[in-house]
Amino acid sequence: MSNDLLALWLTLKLAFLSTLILLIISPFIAWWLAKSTNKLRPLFEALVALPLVLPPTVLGFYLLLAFSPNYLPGQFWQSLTGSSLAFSFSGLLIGSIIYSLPFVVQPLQAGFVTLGNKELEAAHTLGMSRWLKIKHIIVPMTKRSFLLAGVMGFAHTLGEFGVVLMIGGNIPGETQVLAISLFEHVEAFEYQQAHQIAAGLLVSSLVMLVLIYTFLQHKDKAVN
Amino acid sequence: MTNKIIVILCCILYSTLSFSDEIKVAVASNFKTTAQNIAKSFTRKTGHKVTLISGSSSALFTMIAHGAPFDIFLSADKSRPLRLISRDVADASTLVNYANGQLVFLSLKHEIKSLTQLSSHLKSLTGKLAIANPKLAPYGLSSIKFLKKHSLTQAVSPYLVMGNNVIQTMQFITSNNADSGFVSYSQIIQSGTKSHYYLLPQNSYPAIKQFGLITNKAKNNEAAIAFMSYLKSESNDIISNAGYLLGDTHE
Repeated sequence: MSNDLLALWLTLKLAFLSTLILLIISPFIAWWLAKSTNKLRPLFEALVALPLVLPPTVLGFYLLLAFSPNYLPGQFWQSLTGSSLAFSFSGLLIGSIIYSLPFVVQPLQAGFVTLGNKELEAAHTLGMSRWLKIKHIIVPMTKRSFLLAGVMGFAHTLGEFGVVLMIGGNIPGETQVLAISLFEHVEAFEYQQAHQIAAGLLVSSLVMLVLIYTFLQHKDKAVN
Repeated sequence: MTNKIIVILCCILYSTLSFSDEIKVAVASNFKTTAQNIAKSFTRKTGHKVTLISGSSSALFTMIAHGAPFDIFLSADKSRPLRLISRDVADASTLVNYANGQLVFLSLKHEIKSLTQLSSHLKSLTGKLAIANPKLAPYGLSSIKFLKKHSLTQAVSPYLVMGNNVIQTMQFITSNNADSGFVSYSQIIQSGTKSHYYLLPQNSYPAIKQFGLITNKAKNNEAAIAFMSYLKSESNDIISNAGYLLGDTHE
């Protein structure tokens, strides 16, 4: 397999796994952010949004420090698995999850905020358990937000660059994702390969977004 | 009233016109600090102001090839300046070998004192070995050629990680994520690192010759010409103190 195909496979794997993990953890964070009246809520809201404003290289640099055996997280991982987090796929996965977190949490949070309390209160008086409420009311009513969150998380991880550049070490098949090999081709004057990857990323991201927006539009019409 | 405003506007306009020339120098990131020192003493001597723009040699090349308003390009290699010449963006007569980089093996744990020691150490690595990406960085290319020449490529390949440039490569090592790696001697001097380093003998790897030139848009710019000759003839101390060898005079 050529390095570029390897990079494509790796990128899809990374985007898929990051999105999966994000879709598992984000609903809890988003729910708390949407419903809590805690005074500290703005702080946590800001922490989640931080990757939107910070340059990815800053995040990457701190992750590089955190992954090193000089600091606690790196030591902990090393004693747990015997290997280092930097320059590994697991390291990239952690980086992507942090970096794409706001893209998944924010649509969910917006969905939960608009979710009326009426239905939930009615369900409560009927004695519905929490699990049933989630299954029959919350998830069906915010399906649109889940879909949007998933697509945004996936698409954003596809294009991730700065963090991977800092913590990846550019190892084919392990940490060399598409954005990195694109960058390498451009810097090495291999414009033809660069064009192929760039066009591929552009078209696939556009198609993905058009599909999702079309789907959401149809749903809106169905609701109306 | 209108007259007053016109006078004030004229004053403002006049003040933005500089009397001594200002030049823009695009410099490869490995040479940035050294170029800053050279520019400082050049400005003190001639009064010409120097603005430095730093980045990777290939990024700077791309900018200049697409019309960036830079007067001088100090690359980390020869191939990029040559590409500018073949594109008619710069003239071959201004090409100068301004400095030669030196390769260093940096290790956090092991003290290496000879080439034989280094070679046997590299055959029995246990942790990651960081080099600059040979496709992008001249220091990386030289490191890979060193490994090839001493038949070490196979032994080290499972341990290789690549930085985007020597600066990032050094970061991998000093942050303890990689055990050792190949970086430039100038970084060792700048950072004042306490780690073990071994300056590789010059004949053990292809020389890292850094070339610079004046772009066509500045070929008649006196300040740019003066800077190039200052770089070549009056900056020797600054260049060698920064960990570089002086470039060849006839290249």
